[in-house]
This record gives sequence, C-alpha cells and structure tokens, in this order.
Amino acid sequence: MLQVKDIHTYHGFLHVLKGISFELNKGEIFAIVGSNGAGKSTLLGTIAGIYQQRQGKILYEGNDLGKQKVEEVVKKGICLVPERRQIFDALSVKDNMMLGAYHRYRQSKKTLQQDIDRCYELFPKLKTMEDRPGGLLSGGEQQMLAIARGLMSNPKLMMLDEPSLGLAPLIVKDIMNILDQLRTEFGTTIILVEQNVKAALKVADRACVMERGEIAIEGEAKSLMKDPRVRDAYLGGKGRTVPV
Amino acid sequence: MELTSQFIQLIFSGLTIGSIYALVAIGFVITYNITGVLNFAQGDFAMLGAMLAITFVSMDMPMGLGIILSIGIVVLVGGIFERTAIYPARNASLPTLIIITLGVAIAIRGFAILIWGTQPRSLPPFTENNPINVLNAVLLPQSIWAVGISLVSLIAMHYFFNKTFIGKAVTACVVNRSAARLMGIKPEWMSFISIAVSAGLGAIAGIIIAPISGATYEMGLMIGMKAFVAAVIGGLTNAPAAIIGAFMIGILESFTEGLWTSGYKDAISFALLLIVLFFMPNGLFAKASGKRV
Amino acid sequence: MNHSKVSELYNRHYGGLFLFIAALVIVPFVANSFLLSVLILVGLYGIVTTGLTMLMGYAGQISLGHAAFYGIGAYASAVMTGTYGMPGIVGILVGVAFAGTVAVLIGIPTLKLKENYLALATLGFGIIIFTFFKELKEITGGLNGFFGIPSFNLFGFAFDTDLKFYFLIWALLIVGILFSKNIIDSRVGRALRSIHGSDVAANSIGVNIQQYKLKVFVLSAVYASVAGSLYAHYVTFINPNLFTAMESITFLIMVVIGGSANIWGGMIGAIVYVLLNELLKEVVPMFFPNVGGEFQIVFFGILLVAILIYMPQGLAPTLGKVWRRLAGRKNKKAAVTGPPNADATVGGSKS
Repeated sequence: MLQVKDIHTYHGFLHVLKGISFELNKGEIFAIVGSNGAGKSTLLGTIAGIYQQRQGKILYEGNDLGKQKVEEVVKKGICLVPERRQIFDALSVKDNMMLGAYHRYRQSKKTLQQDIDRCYELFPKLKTMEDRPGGLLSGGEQQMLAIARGLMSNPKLMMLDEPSLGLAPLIVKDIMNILDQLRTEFGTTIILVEQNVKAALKVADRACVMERGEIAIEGEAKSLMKDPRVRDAYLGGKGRTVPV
Repeated sequence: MELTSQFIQLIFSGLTIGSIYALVAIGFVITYNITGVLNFAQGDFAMLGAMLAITFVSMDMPMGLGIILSIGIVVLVGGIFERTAIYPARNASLPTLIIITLGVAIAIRGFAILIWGTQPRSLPPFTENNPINVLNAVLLPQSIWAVGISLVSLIAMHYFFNKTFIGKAVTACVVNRSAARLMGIKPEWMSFISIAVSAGLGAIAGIIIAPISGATYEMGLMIGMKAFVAAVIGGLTNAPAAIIGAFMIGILESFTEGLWTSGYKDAISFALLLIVLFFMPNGLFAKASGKRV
Repeated sequence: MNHSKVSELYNRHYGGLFLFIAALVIVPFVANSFLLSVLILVGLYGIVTTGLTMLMGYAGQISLGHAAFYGIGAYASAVMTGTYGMPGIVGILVGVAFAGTVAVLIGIPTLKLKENYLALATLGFGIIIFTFFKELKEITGGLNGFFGIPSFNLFGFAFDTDLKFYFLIWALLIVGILFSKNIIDSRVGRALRSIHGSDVAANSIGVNIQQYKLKVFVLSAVYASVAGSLYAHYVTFINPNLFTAMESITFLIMVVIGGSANIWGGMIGAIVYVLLNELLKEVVPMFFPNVGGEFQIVFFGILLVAILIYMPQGLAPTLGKVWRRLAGRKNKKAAVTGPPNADATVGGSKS
C-alpha cells in the first residue's frame, strides 16, 4: 500500500535521509529500528508531510503523495503518533480524542461518539478518566491516549514513533499487544519506529535497521532477530563482532 | 458626599472601565497565544466598532441591528488584517510583527480621520439612562450594560474555547502546535479565527464605552495600551489573570482620579506595567498560570 | 601595501562620502528658507533615527518610547537655558545624563528577558514621561508649553540663523553616523552580525550580548536626547504633545522606511518620511477638502506594513546600489564596496 522510493531529506545543509526505499504491504507491522540520529523520525516526518524530501517519491495506494502538507496526508488516512506522545496536556482525555478526528469534525456527533467508544473498548482505562486533563496522565496512559487519538482519524496507515520510550516493560508489552490487536481486528497497517528492538521485532512482521540515513538490513522480523549483526548491536547478544 | 458612598462610586466606575479593558485584554491574550504577536491594533478595533455603531445609529438604524452590524464588520476587518498583514509576515521576527501591527493601528486611525474627522462623537445609551441610587452612590444603567455585556462576552469566549470543537482546536494549537498539526489542524487557520474573534471583542468594548465617554479616532490608543498593561500583568498568556489585571487597572485608575488627580492616572497604570515587567516578567499570577486560552 | 593600493582603499571608503558632504554643503545655498527648515528637521530626526537604526538593526530590539528621550533633551535644554540662563552645552549634557541614566535603568531589567519586553517597557516609560511633561506645570509649563528658549550658543558662537543651524545639525548627524558605524564594526558588533543576532550563538562564542544591547540602547537614547535639545533651541517653543507615543512610532516608521540593516537607513528614512509628509499635506486636501488632523498616518501605516512584508530591508540597500553606481563610476572597485556600506544585513529579520 505504501512505496517509498529512494527519498532524500535534508535539514538545512544536513543530509539526513540518503536514499531510503522500502515497500509496505497492507495489514502488516513494519518495524524500523536503529540508533539515535539514524534518521528514523525524519523518515516518518517525511511520509507524514512534516518534512519535504528533496528527491524521491512516496506512493500511497498507487498515488504520489508529492509535496502534500500534513493536513492533506492526514485526510488520506495516514497518521503519525509522535515521539514523546505530544498530548494536549491542558485538554481532557476526551477532547484529545475528539481532536484526533479534527479533519472530519463535520461528521455527526453520533459517528464520532461511536468511534470514541470503539477506542474505549481498546483502552478501557481511558474511559474512566475521560474528563481528566491529558497532562495529569501517567506515561503509559498518555501513550495509550496518543494511540487512541491517532485512531480517531480513522487511519489506514498508522506510524508510531518510539511508543515504548520511558515506559515500564509491562506497559510496553501491553502497548505491543494493542498494536497486534489493531492489525488483526482493524486491519491497520503499522510502521513502528523503536529503540526497544526486542519488543519491536517480536510484534513486527518485517523490519529494517537504519544506520546514518540508510537502510542497512531489511527482512523478516524473525530472521532479523537471529541475524548476528542485529543481535550484537541491538540485542546485547554475544556473537561475532561484525560492524553493521 | 460621604466617604463610603464615594468609595462605592469609585468602585462602580472602576468596574465599568475595567470591563472594557478586560474585553480588549482578552483579545490581546488570544492573539498572543496563538500567533505570538503583540497586536497593537487591538485598541483600534474598539474605536472602529464605536465609530461604526455611531454612524449606523445616526442613520436611524435600530440600535441592536447597528451594533451587530458594526461588530460583524470589525470581525471582517480583523480577518482581513490577519490575511494581509500577519499571515504574509508569519515567519518574520517579533519586532517586525510588532511594527506591522503598529502600522495597521495607525492606518485604521488614519482612515477614521478621513471618514469621521477628528471631532469626538457619542452614541446614545442603550436604554434610558436615569441614574439609579445604590447605597448613596449613583449608578448609571449604561454601566450595568457595560459590565453585563463584558461578562456575557467573556463567558461566551470561555464556552467557545473550552466547549466547541473549533475552539478546542484553537486551544490545542496553543498547547502544542506541532501535535495539532499532526491532527490536521492548520495553525494559520486558527490564527485567522482567533484574530477575527479578538477584533470582535474589541468592537464590543468600543461600542459599550461609547455612550459613557464618547468616541474619537484616537481612543483606541489608550484603551489598547491599558488593556495591554492588563494582559502583561496576567503574564500575556493567561486569560483569567488578564481579566483580573484589567479590573485592577480600572479600579486603580478610578481611585487615582477620584482621590488624587486625573492628570497622573495614565502614569500610574504604566508605572504598574514597568514594575511588573521589571520584577515579575511572567505576570503577577505566574505560579497559577497554565497555558490556557 | 604599495601607495596606489592605499589610495584605492582610501577612495573606496571615503570617495562617496566626500561627494555626499559636498552636496550637503552646496544644498543650503540654493535652497529657499522653507526647504532649509525642512532639511534641519530631517537632520534632527536623522540623529534620533540613526540611534534607533542601531538598536533595531544591530541589537534586534525596538523602542516605542524614543520620543520621551527626545523630549527629555528638549525640556532639559529649555529649563537649563530658558529658566536658569545656563549655556547651551549644559542643557545638552543634563539631557544626556538624564536620558542615559533612564535608559540604563530600563535596559538592565528588560534586555535580560527573552521576549521583546524592551518595546513594552519603553512604551510605558514614554507615556509616564509624557505625563510628567504635562503635569509638572511649574517646570515645563504644562500643556501651555514652554516659551522663549534662547538660540543655541556654543562657547560664544551663536547658531542664530537657519543656515548656521543647518550646518551644526548635519555635521552632528554625520559624526553620529560615523560613530555608530564604528561601534557596529567593532569586534563585538561584527561578531553579532556574523551570528545574525542569535542569543544562543552569541553566548557560545563568548560575546556578552546583553551588555552590547544595553550599550546600543543607551547610545540611542543619548542621540535622541541631543537631537531633542537642539530641536528645542531651534523652534524656541515646545509642548508635551510633541513627545507622544505617536511621535515614537513616527521615528520607527522612518527607520523602517530607510531600513535598519544599514546604518544610513535612519537618515534615508528621515529624508523620505519628511518629504513624503510635506507632499501628502499638499496633495491630499485637494481630494478631501474637509480633512483635518494627522490624516497622513493612513498612508504611513499602509506603507509601514507593505515595506515590512515586501521590502524588509527598507530603501537603504536599493539606494545604496544606485549611490555606488553614481559615486564609483571612475573606480570600478568602489562600485563593489563603497559607502554607504551595504554589508550590514542583520537583526530586523529572522533568517
């Protein structure tokens, strides 16, 4: 459903993405792992329309996303759950979710309420705190809210930037389970950017490793888990030391 | 006049003028929160509202219709101002943006001279203006109108920003601009809305003060500056604090005028501005302030 | 460096300036008395706006209260020479001391803050000072004004004709511009220009940016005060309405028209503003016969917005190009870097 073809993105003079290409199939979870500064967030930002690539194409369901802005990309069903969650901390949980549906706010209140209820089924905890300001939620709750808010835009493709950042292992597990559920129950396609490589590879179907703006390794998540290069660099394994 | 009744009298007039400042100050805060611009044309929207209302009423238009029409026109002017002066310069530095709003302010003032001349004009009171006696102090019905309309407008604003979908989107934009963008909210569109709304608030302020102290082409300058002081007292981003600041300024002024001299009234307000800037640059209520509209 | 290179350098930097000064010397002898008085006004404004240009262009700050400094100078001179019969220089020095002190007091707390709080503080200060001019009636004469300020007298030489005064003002303006240029070209000034006024970058290279900004602000206040003193001597009658917030905004308009990225911008802005203003006063009443008051501000308001959006560098860079073409025709190198210097592009606009 998504084809990224040789994109180059710059931040000022900085050449951040140096020709990234990959393809995404409908209904799969694709994990992107790699160290800090590899360009993972920039890649998501480029797909979401925050940054414009200088070169290369992004095809979504066969159409070129071109130089479209965030607003238009969101309308097409691509949503980005940003790094550090970026909750509207002064607004209530419910308002946060409502705003996720901003681009279709003219739809009937009933539809929106149905969507909110659907999200509550996924995250029952959020329902109990729907009037609480988002800023008062714990890290895990905020992450759930961020995902729920993203779901409210009815995405076909959801991109998550470091959802496990700063969360306890148990909560990370919960979140990964939910991603799995999203794929199986809603058929949502997911791009997952993670530094928690183990958790990401566990839930993902396919994955790639990014290094300094390029894709170093790409393949089935399971085979990547066994790949000695990945094990050495990211999974703390004791194998041969081969530079990635 | 005995002391307590004089005291009450001064409170009345302080609240009246304070409610005017509050409306304009809220406009400042809304605009500042969403665009980061200190809008020096805010006071001139008040003047424009007053002048238009006076013109419509003098054309024998029913007062209510004339007032609503004037507010509508000023909202439109606010929107045009955003599109033609703020939006094209949205990436400019803060000093540049400040000077742009100053430019708009004096352009509006100049238009007012061309259209309405330099003579003061006045609007008839909204209802019969027979003084009411309250605790030996004199209260004019127009003052009640002023305070009442301000309060209703402020409550309406609160409702708009906290209860309506579009208002929440504006608030979201203030709270976290980049995240709002990811939801598909366009910050530029939000700043258009908030500047137009602020202009409308300014117009309301001008219209309710016009029957009390008249209207001149340059009235916007002082109203704007005082409201500005109120907004700074509130830390520029905090709407409730700005409202409290506005009433403080109003009462401070009325007491300076009533108990000392009218000559130094302006100096006192601006001395307060300097004190706040020097010693409490985040406003008097810095601790209590969250970044809410 | 051989001799011809030295003279070439000399030409490059001062050739244009000499031409300009020559024009300044000739003009008053061919101008009528009205034009002469207009040129004196331009010179006085030019001194104020040169200070403001530095403040805006090289310290990234704006002041909405320079009319107050202008007024402080004017009233200091009026009171010292008119009331106490002191020599003119005393009035100027008292004004400078007063304006400078106030500028330090306002500048220290506000220039530390991130936002453009100097603009707000100067606005408040300007209105307070205006109130004092109005209310301290025993000293200033209140709204009735202060009459009978003697003409300026420096060490026994009386500047009692417009022609003498013209030369005094313009000499002072040129000295003021060159002095400002010197500060801008200093080590700190150049460092600030190279980093485009960014506080973070300034701190990282060890430049004390606040101190520099304060210095520039105080200097601009002093310029305004001196101009105000001389203005009082020139018109011999002053009243508080000459020093309102609107007057401060007028100074800003001049700087924006000329452009704050170039130290000559202030002077150019003053010339253009005053001439346009006179023109508008002649032309507009032909179309609006009943118009009164300061109707010209419509035009200047729109001009201000238009310039900031479409021509944020102001007129100076454009005029600079024309100027260099005229002045440097003989020497090709002069066409590249002759004065007015146009390499100073900083401050007002964010990169």
